[in-house]
Amino acid sequence: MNNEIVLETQSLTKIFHGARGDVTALDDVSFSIPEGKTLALVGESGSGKTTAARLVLGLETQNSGTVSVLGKDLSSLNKKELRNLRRSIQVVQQNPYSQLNRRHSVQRIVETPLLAFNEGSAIQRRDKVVDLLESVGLDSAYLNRRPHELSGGQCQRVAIARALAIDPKIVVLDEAVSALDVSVRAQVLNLLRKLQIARNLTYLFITHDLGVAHYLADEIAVMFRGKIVEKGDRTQIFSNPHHHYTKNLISSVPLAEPPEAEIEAISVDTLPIPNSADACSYRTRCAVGLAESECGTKELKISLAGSHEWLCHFPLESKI
Amino acid sequence: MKLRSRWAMLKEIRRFLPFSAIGIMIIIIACLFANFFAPYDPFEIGLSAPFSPPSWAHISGTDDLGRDLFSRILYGGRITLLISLVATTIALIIGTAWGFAAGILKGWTDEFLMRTADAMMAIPAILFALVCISGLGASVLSLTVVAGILLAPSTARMARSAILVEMETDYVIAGIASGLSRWRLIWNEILPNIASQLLVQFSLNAAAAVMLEATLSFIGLGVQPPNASLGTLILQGYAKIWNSYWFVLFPGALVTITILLFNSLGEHVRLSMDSVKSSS
Amino acid sequence: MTSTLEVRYLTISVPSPSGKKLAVDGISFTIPAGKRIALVGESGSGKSLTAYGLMRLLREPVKLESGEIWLNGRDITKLDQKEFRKVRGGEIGMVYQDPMSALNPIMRIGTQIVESIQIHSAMNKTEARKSAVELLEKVGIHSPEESFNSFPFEMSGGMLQRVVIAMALSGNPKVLIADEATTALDVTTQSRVLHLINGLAKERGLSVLLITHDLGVAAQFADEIVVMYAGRIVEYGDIRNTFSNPLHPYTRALLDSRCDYTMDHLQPIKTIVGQPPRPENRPSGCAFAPRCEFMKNSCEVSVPMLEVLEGSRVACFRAEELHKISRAR
Repeated sequence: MNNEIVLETQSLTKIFHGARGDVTALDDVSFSIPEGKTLALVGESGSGKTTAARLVLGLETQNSGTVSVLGKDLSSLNKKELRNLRRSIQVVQQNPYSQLNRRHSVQRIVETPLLAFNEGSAIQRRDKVVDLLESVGLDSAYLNRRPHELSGGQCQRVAIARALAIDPKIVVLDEAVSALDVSVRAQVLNLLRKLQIARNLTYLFITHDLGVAHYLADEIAVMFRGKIVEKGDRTQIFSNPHHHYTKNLISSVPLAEPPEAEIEAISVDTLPIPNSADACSYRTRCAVGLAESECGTKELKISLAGSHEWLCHFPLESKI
Repeated sequence: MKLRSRWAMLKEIRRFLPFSAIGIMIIIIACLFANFFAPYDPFEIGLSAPFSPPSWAHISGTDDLGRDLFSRILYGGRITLLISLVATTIALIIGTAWGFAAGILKGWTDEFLMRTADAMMAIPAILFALVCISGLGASVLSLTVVAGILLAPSTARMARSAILVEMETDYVIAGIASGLSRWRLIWNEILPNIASQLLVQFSLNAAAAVMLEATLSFIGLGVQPPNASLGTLILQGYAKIWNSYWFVLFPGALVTITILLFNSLGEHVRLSMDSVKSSS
Repeated sequence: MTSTLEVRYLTISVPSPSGKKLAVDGISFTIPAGKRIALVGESGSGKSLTAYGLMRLLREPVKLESGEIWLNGRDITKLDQKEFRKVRGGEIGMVYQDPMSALNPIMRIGTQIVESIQIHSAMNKTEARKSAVELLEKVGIHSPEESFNSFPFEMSGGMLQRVVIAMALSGNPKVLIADEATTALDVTTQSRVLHLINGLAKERGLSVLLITHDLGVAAQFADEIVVMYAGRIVEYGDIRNTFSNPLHPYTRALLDSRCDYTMDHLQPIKTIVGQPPRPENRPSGCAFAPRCEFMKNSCEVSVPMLEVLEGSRVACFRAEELHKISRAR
């Protein structure tokens, strides 16, 4: 099996200039995904995960750092080459309805990538669309339907079928299951995994949902205010988290098991204090960070233990 | 969706075809096919006594040369509507391209294009038209072109804001990610979604164009004899308003009704767009 | 225990191309004083409409067809508009999903809370202002004096939701309805807001109706759970019993189809075939039957009623039978 890196970012930085000052959406973000694997970018609002997705898809340009898709640096490509590269990397977005053109039929929506690259005759395209719909669990009766006639889950399947139309290598899933009902979410997750195995797809999964990351991802990168604060595989992240934010995230997720006793919440202040650039931006929410002065002044460097890395001066104790 | 009853079907039709649309279509068909609908030859003199009031023979009465006024109105309406519809179409094409260019290219191009539009809109329409027509000479063609140019900037503003909104939507991002070229994106993805907004603009512009034609012809700078339009009819008729009220009433009424219907159609489409947006 | 809020046979209809359909079909539940009830369901379950029905916020053509809502001894459905306005925002406080839409964007948040206080009490402006600042502090907003003068757009989602809770509390409610109040928030913020609601409820003896699609939220923050499907209640019981021993196949399936990090990632998630029906497509008989793995033909003939089983209430013809089977294992 070919384990070549198909998607890679190096020291990606993106700053947005707004009316009320500059916002560093991404700060020195690096990750790489080998073919056939899934990387989950997990974070809450403001973490920068959506910006990362847009940069990887070539929808925005970064301030510094590189994005390489199939070995090609996006910033070195001209418009035509970039458009061509889109054959290899596709996207499925969060909102099932708004990512489909409400004026088009399902058939038209799914064949759009084929039309964009002038692939095949009308009959060949139609056949391909029928195949694609079948592979996402929709039969040909759906060809002439419009998005508003479909349920959320069905729309999402159509979006997935469209993403697969030109046989991409990489699919960016931007909160692709967040807007779905619980039972429908399960169906779509199973479908995504099935498709990944069948077509050797590489997934970049953007999500705020740890459960989804746990299910699909081979590697998980936890993001906070533009930085990757911890990165590792399932076991490392869930059983042995080193960063306090990771631990906070995990323990904040309400599990479907009623607690034995009342759990007191960790109430830590969220003061929006501006930081010195290289110090830890999480410190104002961290029990340790508020206590230790180093956290507000000392520059953070990545710590490593094999494939597990984190960005913390006082990481949690290792449980291994 | 199945339509279970006649009532439901009528409601569906009424949603697509409000009364204003039906009204406009009646007027357009009647005027454009004036040959079929006009009871008499508009040029035939002396059919009845000049200045006869409305009667069964002549629904709108006769004019100073004994010509049937109703037929003259229909033929006149044809010219007025032709000018209006062609001008509005010109405005739509130029304005949309203008607005889209500004919205997509952004930066200095956007600034330049929009400031030009603002400047043009700041000039009083009649003044602008007067100047242009004095220069070009009055004729149906010059009137149409000038009207088209006058209506383009507001269309451009509408088109620009429409495309700016659509560019941020998920389906457009999906389209870009699917590898669509800029042209295909605009033509196949965005335009269908802006269609109803363009229709609103078209309707409102058509109303304005009818008004413009009537005004300019009324002051003699529009349609010239032997052609007659609603505006020229009103011009001929207004001097006789006290004795032969019908001469100015009927052409004026048609102008007013046409403008009202176009405006009403535009408003109806705009309102139904809003209700669709809020229910989705 | 005296009940604070009792809902009886609430029925709400919605229009559809084929006529009026029942989106909430005769549901009944009770929220005892000081208890937290989770109303759980997916799309089309009718849970949000129930919340709006309770607050009489339904707008034509959606209509409250029938039912009674007893709040502290009186049926508030029978009150006229004027009297009900004292209840809404007063005895019943509501927190919605989108805090931005609950707040006036051009008014300072402090002013909005003061406004709310003055509507529901006899305080003068000075007293109300003091009360408002106290409330802001109570809901965990630091520097309440400063935040008093902030505008909604200056605050984050979590802080705004706290402000909305403060407003809901300003009317001294007996019941707090939280309709997907934390769905739009980050999970860490969600945790803090839910703990806040918990704490306040305990302190003031509030009853809480938590409307959510998230079973985890229900499990962690409720005492009892009401599971809705297609406008009807399918299971209603104590939270621990229901989670350790779900009686209705839908509850069981919903639990199985969740995806959290304690599940075995190597196994495909156990899904429920199909999707929840919309009011106009609701199947006859048991609404869940077409998707139920234990379905028998008799299930589609008539609608199962809620019956007591092992301390919970469940609406399933086969509940007892299935429960016996699972016990035997």
